[in-house]
Amino acid sequence: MFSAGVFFFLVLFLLLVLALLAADVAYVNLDAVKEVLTSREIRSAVVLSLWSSTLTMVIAIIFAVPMGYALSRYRFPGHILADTIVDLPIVFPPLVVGLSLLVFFRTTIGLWLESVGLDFIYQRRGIILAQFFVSASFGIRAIKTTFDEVDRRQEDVALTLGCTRGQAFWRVAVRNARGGIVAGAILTWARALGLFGPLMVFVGAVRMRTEVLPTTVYLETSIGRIEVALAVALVMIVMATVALILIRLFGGRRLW
Amino acid sequence: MIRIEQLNFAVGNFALRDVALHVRAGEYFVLLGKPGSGKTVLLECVAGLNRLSSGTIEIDHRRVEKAEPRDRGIGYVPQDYALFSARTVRKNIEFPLCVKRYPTSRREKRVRELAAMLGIEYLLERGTHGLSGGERQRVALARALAAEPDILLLDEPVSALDDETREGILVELRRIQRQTSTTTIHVCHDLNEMRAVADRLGILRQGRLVQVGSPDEVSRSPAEPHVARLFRLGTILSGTARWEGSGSKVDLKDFTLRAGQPAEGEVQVLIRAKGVRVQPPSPQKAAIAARVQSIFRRDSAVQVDLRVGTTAFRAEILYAEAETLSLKEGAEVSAICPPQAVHIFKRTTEDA
Repeated sequence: MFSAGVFFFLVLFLLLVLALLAADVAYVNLDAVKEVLTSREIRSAVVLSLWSSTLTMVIAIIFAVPMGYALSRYRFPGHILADTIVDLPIVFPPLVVGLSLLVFFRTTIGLWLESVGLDFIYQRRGIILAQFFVSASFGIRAIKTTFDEVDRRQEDVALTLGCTRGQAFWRVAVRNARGGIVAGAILTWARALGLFGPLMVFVGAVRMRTEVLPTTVYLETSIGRIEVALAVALVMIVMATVALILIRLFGGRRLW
Repeated sequence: MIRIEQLNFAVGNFALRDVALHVRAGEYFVLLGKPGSGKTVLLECVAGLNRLSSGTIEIDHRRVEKAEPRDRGIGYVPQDYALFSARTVRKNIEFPLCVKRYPTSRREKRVRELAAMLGIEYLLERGTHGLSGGERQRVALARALAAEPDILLLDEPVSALDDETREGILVELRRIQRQTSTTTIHVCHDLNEMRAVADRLGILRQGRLVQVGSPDEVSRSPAEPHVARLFRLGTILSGTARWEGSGSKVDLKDFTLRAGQPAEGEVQVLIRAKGVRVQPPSPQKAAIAARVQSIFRRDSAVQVDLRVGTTAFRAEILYAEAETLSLKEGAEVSAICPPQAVHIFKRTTEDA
């Protein structure tokens, strides 16, 4: 009876998601799919979406692993504040993130960065920055929670068995937290792939330059080509599904 | 050899204070104390997991209080064993050897040796999940011994095991310790566990080391009432002592005792349960008229709680004696407490 109750909610949710997908598939015609697969602009957006979200995920994990560890293992003045600030990008309205980035790059520091060649506004690197800013928090939160659950005594024992603090971190803590790190990577990648609002504000929607798949969906919808927009969305969904399955299959086992 | 001098360490509201301890080379030393007395904290100080506020620690004549744990030559088994959950048993055991970059052939040989010594060859390719408590304990011990440490630190290594496994592991621990001559500190709160392995022991109470000695020495001459209580030696009562040349006379509330030690004034005395003789009511001068309050049959003896007026004390007699006396609750008996069954504590400031 209990299992039936638990599975009821699982099946209900899966059916809802599948129903939405089925509706999309039913709406899209073959011509729209062909157009999506053959369009140079859309192919460019696919490639840009994939590499930008993957690069964002890598950078975010590079930050998230030590940050999650620091927040989990150390108590320092301002810990609660730091923990809260990490979560802020999650609750920022996406458009506000784009606006904040624009404003920041008009400040002295931002202008100086531009003067030394680090310009982000309407640039491809701006996509990475916006995606990182919004999605890294998901990774940090997931990884911090995992470190919270990992037995600290194992690291202590590793220290007595010959490890430096760094070795104990890599050989024991990170290894034990790999499930959470993979989960953090998935969340970060998925959030980066689907990001739209901040990108429209910060890097615009220049075809073949700063257009990513969510932008394509918006552009196609804005000119009334709903079938093409949905076909692009389906391409995104297929990409995301394949990527998530691959990460789940290999991320936790083979990469360590 | 471990030498600790004037060790002080504070964590939260708890502090280890002025701990001084010398563990001899090749000795099996037990740190005994109630939960919360600071045993684990002291062990972690020796392991280098806690930074001392002050004091020194020497291991084999090397000052190590500022050294990293990896530079102390220790093997450490924490209470929960802390096996590396993402590794197999083999990988757990060879972990310190990998860290120290032992060649593969030497690693494999050492793992085989340890697995054979601890009887865990059949576990080597298994993960650590699903191992029984005894198996986990053996794996943790093998891992701690892998790099041949100078010092082995065991934190309540058998507390989570059932009686039968516990006895087996304790016998094994002692055998391995003798075989490897590794100086060992074993933390526990159980008297039987301590007796099974200890060459000597130290008793911790509220962050202070109150007594060090062999189990017999401590049992014979407990330093304070807390030690007597921990060793379940008998009943502790308060009274007034006066020296009478050949011994002391201690007036308790309801009766008087004689002791061999010199004492004057307010004292606390221990009436050793094993030293009290129980006999049928007798007019003998040294006999104390008492009433049997309760009888509790233990493995090796019968525990008899006696009452004289408002004072209660305990006697421990053999089964045969209990049968001869036909002891029953409420029965009138005579209790004899010879001077050797009475121990006067030098300090009287301990809590009751």
